[in-house]
Amino acid sequence: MIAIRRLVVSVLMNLCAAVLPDRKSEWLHAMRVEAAHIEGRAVIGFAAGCLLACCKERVTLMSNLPAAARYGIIATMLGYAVFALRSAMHMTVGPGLTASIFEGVAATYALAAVWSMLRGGRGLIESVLILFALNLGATAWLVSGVVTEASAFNARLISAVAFEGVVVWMAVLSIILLLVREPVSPHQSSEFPDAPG
Amino acid sequence: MPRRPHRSNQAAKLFAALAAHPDAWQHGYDLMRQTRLASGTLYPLLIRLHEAGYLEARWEEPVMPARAPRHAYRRTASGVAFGRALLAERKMDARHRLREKLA
Repeated sequence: MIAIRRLVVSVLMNLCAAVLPDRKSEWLHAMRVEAAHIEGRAVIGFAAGCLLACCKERVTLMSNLPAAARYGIIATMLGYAVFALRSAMHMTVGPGLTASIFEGVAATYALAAVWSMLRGGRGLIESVLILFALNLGATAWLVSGVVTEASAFNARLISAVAFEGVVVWMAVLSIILLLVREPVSPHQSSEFPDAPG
Repeated sequence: MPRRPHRSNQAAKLFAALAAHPDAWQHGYDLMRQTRLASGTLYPLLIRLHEAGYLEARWEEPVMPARAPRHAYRRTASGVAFGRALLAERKMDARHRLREKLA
């Protein structure tokens, strides 16, 4: 049991290492060492929390996006919303729910754009991550084969829209990761010069 | 309304815990237990406050049975002043709310 627990903690900490910006690696070391001092099941909660902390740090770094890129992504969201709304208005084929699917997509993208405008860089990253997760979830759900014969048309439609969303937002996330560089000081690469190891 | 950095309830809890042992260096897990903050909340807060110069951090030599040096934290002089102001502000707010409730 202890071995399994340590394995889970090790996996979580390795995920932390992959997520946390490099210049904060000393904090990762601090969390790892602290985890080694925690007894019992609490260590798993601690390590899961550390992963969340590392994700927050990554989001903070990613939110320092150049203004042009930020407004470009917001414009893409709004464009997507308008396109989906226009599609809903021109929908003449398919079962009754079909237009509602496009209206839902339009509302989601419009909401994401507004949130990104109001909350700045952090809001944008939150929106993109949520949109990516929603699309990925919808794709996975539909691929798992829970679709009935009656809803097959709408299911295929949602599947196509969701898959498109996964591709689009994965591309946007990749662009953000490429655009945001970690600031490295030439004099001090570590926040803690006395750090062990 | 402009955002006021480092003035959250969580930051107040952390400063209260640090103020309870003014000169002691405290470890992350000890602070978690005292503040009841999860590691996912505590560590980003520690990072922010350290970057702002309100906390200092050091690696402590291991004490048996520990095998590796641990990271420990305490307030800097500006952290002490900031923490005092924050906790005083919180106390005033709490009093104000109580007065409003009673009125």
